[in-house]
Amino acid sequence: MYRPIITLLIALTGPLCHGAEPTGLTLELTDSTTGQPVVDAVIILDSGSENQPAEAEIIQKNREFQPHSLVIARHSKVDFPNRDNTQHHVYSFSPAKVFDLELYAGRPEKPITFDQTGVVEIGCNIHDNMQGFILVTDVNPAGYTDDQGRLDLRLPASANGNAESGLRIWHPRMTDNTRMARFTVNQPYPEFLELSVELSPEPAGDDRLDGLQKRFREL
Amino acid sequence: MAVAHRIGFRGRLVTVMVALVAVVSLSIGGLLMLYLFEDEKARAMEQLRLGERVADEVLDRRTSLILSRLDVVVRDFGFRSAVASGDRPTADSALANQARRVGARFAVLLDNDSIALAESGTPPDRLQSGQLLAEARQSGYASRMAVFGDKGVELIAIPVEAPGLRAWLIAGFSLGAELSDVIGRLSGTEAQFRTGANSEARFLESTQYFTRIVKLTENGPSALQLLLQINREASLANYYRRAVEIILLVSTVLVLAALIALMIARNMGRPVLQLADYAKAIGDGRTPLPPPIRAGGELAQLRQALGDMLTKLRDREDQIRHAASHDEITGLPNRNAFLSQLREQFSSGKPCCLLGLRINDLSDVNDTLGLEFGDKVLRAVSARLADQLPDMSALARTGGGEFLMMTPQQSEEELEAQANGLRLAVESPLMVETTPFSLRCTMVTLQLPADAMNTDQVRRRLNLTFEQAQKSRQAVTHYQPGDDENHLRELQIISDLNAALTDNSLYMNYQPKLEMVCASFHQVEALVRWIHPELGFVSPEEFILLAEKSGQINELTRHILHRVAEDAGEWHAAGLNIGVAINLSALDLTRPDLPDDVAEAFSRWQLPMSRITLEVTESALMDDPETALETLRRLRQLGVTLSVDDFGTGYSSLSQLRKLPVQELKIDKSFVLHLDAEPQDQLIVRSTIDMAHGLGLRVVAEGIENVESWNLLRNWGCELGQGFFLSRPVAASDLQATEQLLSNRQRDLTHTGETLS
Repeated sequence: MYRPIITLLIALTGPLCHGAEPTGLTLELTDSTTGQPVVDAVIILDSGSENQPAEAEIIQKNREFQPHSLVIARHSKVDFPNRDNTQHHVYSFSPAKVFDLELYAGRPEKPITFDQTGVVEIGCNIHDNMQGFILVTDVNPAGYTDDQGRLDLRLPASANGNAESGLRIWHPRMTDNTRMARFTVNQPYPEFLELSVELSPEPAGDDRLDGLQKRFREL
Repeated sequence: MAVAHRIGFRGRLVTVMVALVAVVSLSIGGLLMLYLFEDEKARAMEQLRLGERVADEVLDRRTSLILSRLDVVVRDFGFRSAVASGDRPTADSALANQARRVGARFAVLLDNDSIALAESGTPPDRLQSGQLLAEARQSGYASRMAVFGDKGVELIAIPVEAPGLRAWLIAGFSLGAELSDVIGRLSGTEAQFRTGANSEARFLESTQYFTRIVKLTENGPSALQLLLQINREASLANYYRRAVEIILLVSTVLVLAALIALMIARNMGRPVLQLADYAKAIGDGRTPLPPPIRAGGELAQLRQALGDMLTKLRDREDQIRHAASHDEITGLPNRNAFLSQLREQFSSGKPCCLLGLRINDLSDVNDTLGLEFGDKVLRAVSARLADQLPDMSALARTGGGEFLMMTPQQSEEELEAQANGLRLAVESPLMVETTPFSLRCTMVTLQLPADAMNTDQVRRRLNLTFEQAQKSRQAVTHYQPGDDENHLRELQIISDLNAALTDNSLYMNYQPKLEMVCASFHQVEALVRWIHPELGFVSPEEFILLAEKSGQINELTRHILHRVAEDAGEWHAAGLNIGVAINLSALDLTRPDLPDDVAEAFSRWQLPMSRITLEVTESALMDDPETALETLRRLRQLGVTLSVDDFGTGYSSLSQLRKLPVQELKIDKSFVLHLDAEPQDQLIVRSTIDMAHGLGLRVVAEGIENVESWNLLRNWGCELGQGFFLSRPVAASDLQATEQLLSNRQRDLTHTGETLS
């Protein structure tokens, strides 16, 4: 299912990279299991501009986290207001940020501050199928892949004789979605950069155990 | 089959029935047992298949149950918190707690890189979780049977997915007796887990168990199998009990069948045996009563058939007997019947009279007027005879036109009177098919037992008498005692003559003939002699006549010719210059090959052929003058001398004599024997000699008994003389001596007193 990723872009105030002109190339991202293009993957270049902490919120409505995925800068504060008529118990065991908002309705006492970079997976202890992701990063994302899984990138020319540049890719359906997948691109940069990540199939939307048990009964 | 013959009908029936029942029952029993056995096996297999399904189901449900439990566990917030706390002891204790809750033997929690986050129990070192996890990633969970330390374990891997927590819980659950008991209870088998054994077979059958093997892992050093077993003890015991029951049943049926067969055999066998005895009695010619048979059906029909057979047999026997003892034309008793009656008469010892009647020329009647007519004549004759005869007398037709009658004893005169009466009755004119018809018949009579002592004699003497009657042409002929003895003697002579010809019991004597002028020994007459071993001396007249009758004369003549030729050869060799005269029978002259016989017999004759004289009687020449004349001519061509024997007794005409190619007359001895005393004989002899000389024939006189006759004949010019006065017939061996004697007497014989004629 398509979930738009809302990014907060802070206007770049710092000077642009000095040195050689950056090189333009097109990234093409495919799912290594199906060969299909990966849509809406977050692409973060190492050479991307630093982003600033901000305040954001992820609301719970219709037993869903909205937005499903959120990219924020380190030290940003995120509030989790409950707009459902049931209480929620929002928590995360991700090493980047472990928190636990015991059963509540309405707005929690205070927002959660995310002070480590990484992928924070959030869930609800009462509603197992509620899932959300918060990407805590120091760099602004270069963008999101389009319907063809493509994104035009500008890679910096090496100034200090470094012959490569790194980039990170994340998508909520990556088989290991607790980390960003890291790639390096060697110079000379190709015009087309074809990369692939492994995605797990889209969930059927039912409760996972129901699927298991149904499969057992079919044995 | 010899056995079948020995054991008889009843035994065979019982054997067959019992054998049949035995075969059928044993087949059914055997089949039943086989089916029972097969059925037991099939049921066991079915139950084991069911057991396997039950086992699969139980194991699946257990897995499913454990999964549900584990699913709850991995979603337990406390557990997740403990694991996420990063504090190992806390995590371990939380895992141990949850493992106890779900009844796992051990549990281990692995992170994405298979690093243990927590452990509980004592998970084996070689868990080899890689494949399990790969499968779990693929399908969300995984379960696998494994063996750790000889114990079957079910490994289940399930992901722990909490926000921010990525781990795998692998728990091991014992597969033990508890579970196998449940499977066994549900499926009605004995179930147990077995480790470390490899087996490809799915089903095993031993004497004690049917076993089904459910493979839970691949074969290998640590294979796990679930054995489902059905103990055969109970079903085998059941089977043996059935077998005993079936054997009892079969035995009972066999005994029953034997009893029934015995009863049937008795009920059937006895009547059959009775009928067999009945049939045997019928066959023996008795007239038995049919056996009482209560049974109906075929046996009754058989009895009926045998009864009918008896009746028809008797009828047919009567017919045959009647046909055997009666003449079919006249209905009178036939020869056999009459002879048996005669036998009875003889054995009773009562005297009686026998009359025989033969219709003359019956064959002519049949030839001219037809057999039908002849039969009618016979019937008419038999009716007339029956009318004429008193009641007590027997009448039979014993041959073509022959009737025999037996009357009570009566005198010779009465018998003749009766015979004449019968003859007249038969010969009186007869109407046959409106044709008046007259018969002639011949009657003979015998007095019994005076004229014949038994049936053989009766038959012979009847025939003899009939022959006599036909010769004598008398109306009624009595049997003459002695006739039959002569007849028998003739028969014997005839039958023995043939043997005499072959064994040389015939021999020759030779009577000298002298030239009367000089009394020189000139020739002998060959006379055949026969000393019969039983009858003694048999005169040549007798047996030569019989040989003529019986057609043996040619043989006899040939024999004599050869004997004489042999003897003559011997005395010629001894230097006796003597010819020979041989008598021929009248019948010899009718044979064209007689001259050949003579030529052959005397082929080595050393004297002139004229010294062989063949003597032929007058009568022989007169019987068939043509043939005789022809034969004589041919004999004459041989050069032999021909002589007319017994001249003066026959009816030869002198004109005949004139034509005959003979050179000699032999005056019959009846004229010569008493020549000296009988003037008439002298006249005849003298004139005969003259006539012969007139015809150019020599004269021989035989029967010269004294010197007077010798002298008379000598004076009359008779050329040859023969008689006892000169010499008796002698054997060939004595001829030498006889010649000596005669030459000694030569002077006496030639110097007799001359008598004037």
